Amino acid sequence: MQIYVHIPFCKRKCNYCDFCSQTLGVEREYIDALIEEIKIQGQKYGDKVVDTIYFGGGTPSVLQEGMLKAIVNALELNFNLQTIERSIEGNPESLTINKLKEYRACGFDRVSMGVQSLDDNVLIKAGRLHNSKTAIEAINNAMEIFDNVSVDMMIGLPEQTMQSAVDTAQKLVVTGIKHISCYALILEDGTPLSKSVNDGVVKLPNEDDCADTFDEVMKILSSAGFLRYEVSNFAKCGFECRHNLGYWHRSEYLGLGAAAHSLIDNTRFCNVSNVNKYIESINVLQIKNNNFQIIKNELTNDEISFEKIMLGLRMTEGIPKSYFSGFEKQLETYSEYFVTNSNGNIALTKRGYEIMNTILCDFIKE
Amino acid sequence: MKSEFIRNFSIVAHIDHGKSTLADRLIQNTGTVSVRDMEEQLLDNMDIERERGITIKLQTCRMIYNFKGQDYILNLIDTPGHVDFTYEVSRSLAACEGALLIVDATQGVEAQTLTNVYLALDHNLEIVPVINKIDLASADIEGVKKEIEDVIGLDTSEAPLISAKEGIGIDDVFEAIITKLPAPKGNREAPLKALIFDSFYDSYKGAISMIRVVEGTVKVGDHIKMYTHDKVFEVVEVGYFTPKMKPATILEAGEVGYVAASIKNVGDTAVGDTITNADYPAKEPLPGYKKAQPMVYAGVFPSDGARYNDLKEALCKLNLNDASLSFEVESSLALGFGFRCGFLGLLHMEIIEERLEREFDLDLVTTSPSVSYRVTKNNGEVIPVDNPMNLPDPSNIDFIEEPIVKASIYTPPEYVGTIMELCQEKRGIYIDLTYLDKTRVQLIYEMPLNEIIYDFFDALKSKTRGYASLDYEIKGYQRSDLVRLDILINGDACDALSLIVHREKAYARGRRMAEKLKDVIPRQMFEVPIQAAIGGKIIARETVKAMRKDVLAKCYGGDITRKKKLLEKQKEGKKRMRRVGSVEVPSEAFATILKFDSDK
Repeated sequence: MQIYVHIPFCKRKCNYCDFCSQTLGVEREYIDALIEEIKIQGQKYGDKVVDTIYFGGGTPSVLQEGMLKAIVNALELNFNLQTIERSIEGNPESLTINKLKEYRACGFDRVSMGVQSLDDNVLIKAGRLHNSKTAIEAINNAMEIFDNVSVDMMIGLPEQTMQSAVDTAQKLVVTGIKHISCYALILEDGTPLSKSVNDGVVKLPNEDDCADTFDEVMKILSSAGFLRYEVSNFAKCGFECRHNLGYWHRSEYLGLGAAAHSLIDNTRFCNVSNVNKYIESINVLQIKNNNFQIIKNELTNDEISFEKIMLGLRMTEGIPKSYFSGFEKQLETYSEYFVTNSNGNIALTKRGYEIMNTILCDFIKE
Repeated sequence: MKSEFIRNFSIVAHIDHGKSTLADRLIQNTGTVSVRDMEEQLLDNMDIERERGITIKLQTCRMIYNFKGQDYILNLIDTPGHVDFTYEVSRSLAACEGALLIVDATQGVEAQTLTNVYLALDHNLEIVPVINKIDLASADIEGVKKEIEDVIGLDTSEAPLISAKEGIGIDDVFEAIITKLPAPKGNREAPLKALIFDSFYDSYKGAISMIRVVEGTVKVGDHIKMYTHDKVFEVVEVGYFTPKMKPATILEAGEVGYVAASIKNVGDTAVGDTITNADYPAKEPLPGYKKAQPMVYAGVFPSDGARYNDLKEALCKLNLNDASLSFEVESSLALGFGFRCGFLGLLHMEIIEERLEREFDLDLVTTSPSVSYRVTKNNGEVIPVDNPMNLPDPSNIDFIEEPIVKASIYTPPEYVGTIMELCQEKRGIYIDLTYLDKTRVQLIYEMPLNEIIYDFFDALKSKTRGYASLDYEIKGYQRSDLVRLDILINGDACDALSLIVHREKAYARGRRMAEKLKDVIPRQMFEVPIQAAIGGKIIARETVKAMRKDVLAKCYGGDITRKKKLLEKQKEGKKRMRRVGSVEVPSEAFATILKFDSDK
């Protein structure tokens, strides 16, 4: 089993973000509730071997010293941890040397940093708190303490040109990091950015610009030895993120904290996404069981076979041909977008990734 | 009541000159409808009519007015005011002895003022001019009077000067109706002859005929029959409109009212037919009218192919009280099953579309409007073609003729140049220019109907800031260099987008459609060429680039549900797509391009 822990706090919420995150204020209450949940879930799942842990957010690095340790201790006490990977996210402006050392002390062995761009103009327009200088400093600091450092970068940001993204990629590959995630900005309804775009105040790069930019970025990454192992993820050999691969392999995972999702025994469930409601519902849990979970979905066989394809095809390693049993027609229709790997698995071609959703739609059963 | 105390009249006017407002005022002043129940524009009882401020369907209302101690029955038969509905106007006029001609004191004589006057004269009606909106600061009463006398030739010395809105001069209107319009003649002892001038369906009473009794009487229990067929019906109810239906015991010669006779099929009470008494039949029918000829044709398809039967039912229902609408099944490769509909004009088409969408909750895709062309084939055979898909292969065509209209345009003189330019551009041929007075010019052009229904009216309105008015009548057919413009999507012709156009216009039109299509066709998995072609020749090309938008399709690690929902939504959307060959096109894209093409 894998464990995901959600830390839903940020110094400031980015203007494109619609994740469950809020500015600081109730961290202490939240962590109390989180530890309470760890105890409750530990009673249920404490026997399962946990091989990866991932702390995401929000920004886990905004937590005050000591808080992280308390959470990790609770995990150690309540679960059977035999981890091969412990990742934690953080942002350049809060990843101080001390913070990095604390991470290390808590047993984390992988840091993932939200850099997004090394172009100061783009960073300002995206509402990020760091600049290119602090980002590079933070990366260098992380490299001192961790062997396995990952950086997130984005394409499709406001005012981001192809050149700007290419520069960012070029600067990143020489820092010695082992893993790069490259995400395209998705305009989500209800975000400040979506409003600015709809009002015509901000113009985003179009579909072709993004795709062309991504092509260029990929060239740089691959010539620097970063291999694409998933739609958006690139790693030096052996540094693929095991926790994330677990999602695509449909390994069991338990999500802890507000808005965290889980998959256990082919059942998907998730916690309430509002931080205050989460705290409240954990506190009254003694009276009414499990009301911090809002969605519970026992998957049908059809859903499981669809998930295996939808998630599995995200990985360049592909999926066994047997997964396509019952989908022979679709496999035929889209044959030009599939390739058979040397291991016999079926994977999407580079072009296939560009139209992935359109292909996947046809695999949903009526 | 003796027929000498009855007056049957219509009100005719150019659109917006105040016809419906005056009708309201007359109804109100006779106490026919209490103030409490008064709604603006009483006779316009369709939502669309009230919203657009126009009258589409004719309505009638019976009022009682006491003049010098004597009660008079005044039957007002309302008429539509738009050029498309000339046919309906003439139906109303046939049931009257006189007409009030409303002229706006601030606008003067306009295109439809004249059309309607001529229609009224055709029916030998007595016409009383009424000058409306005299309360407005810009009213030019003397100027308008002179214009009516000069242009129409009506004496205006005793014309009532009124403001229907403010209720000024309404009694003068009543006096004019009673003293100037003739009473109906007609022998009440003679065999029944009643003209059906409209009919509609009532779910309880069956088909109801609105009639003008010309001779004889009709009452409950009478056996009646129509002239065009021999079916006999027993009258279950007669009455008149106030404007709601109000039963009466008998309708006599000279009166206007309705007859219900448990007639199941509206087709059995065709407008223009004559009703007579089955036991005591009249020797010959009334003249009736000639059937309205559709001028504009278009394919109407449900956006959701599964709703074909709903559309069919809806058209049948609309057809009951709009006999001028014609339709037959059409099938399109791109749009599936639908109907080729014939309309009186563009407004009529718009109204029908709107009624289908509103009253029957349908989403429609309507193809570009077309006129009816006359194609002479090499073998001498002449066929009418109102659907581009039915145009024979050019090698089999000797020549094609298109309908030509005589267009009368009324405008302030400063727009003459602009209008002439526009008419020229629309292949118009100059016929005449007359200064009606210092502020009004009448321009006459002969012009292909095909150009008028494309975008002429909108262009005219926008180029003259709404000041010019247009009327037209069909003049005949003329040989013309017409071609079919086809649109190819990824090499496959999309039948729903084909058009018949003049060769000279084909290039511009083809280019514009290709450009627009490029914007509305969503990107596909592969690159899609869009071409406009005449015969085998490509005249314009655009390309919809291949989709790449999922380049980095995000998936929030643990949150799989969200991604699944997104894909399910996309799949739903895909299901609603129409297919042109291998290309998926949403119905809305057709609607957008076709709408855009017709109204610029």
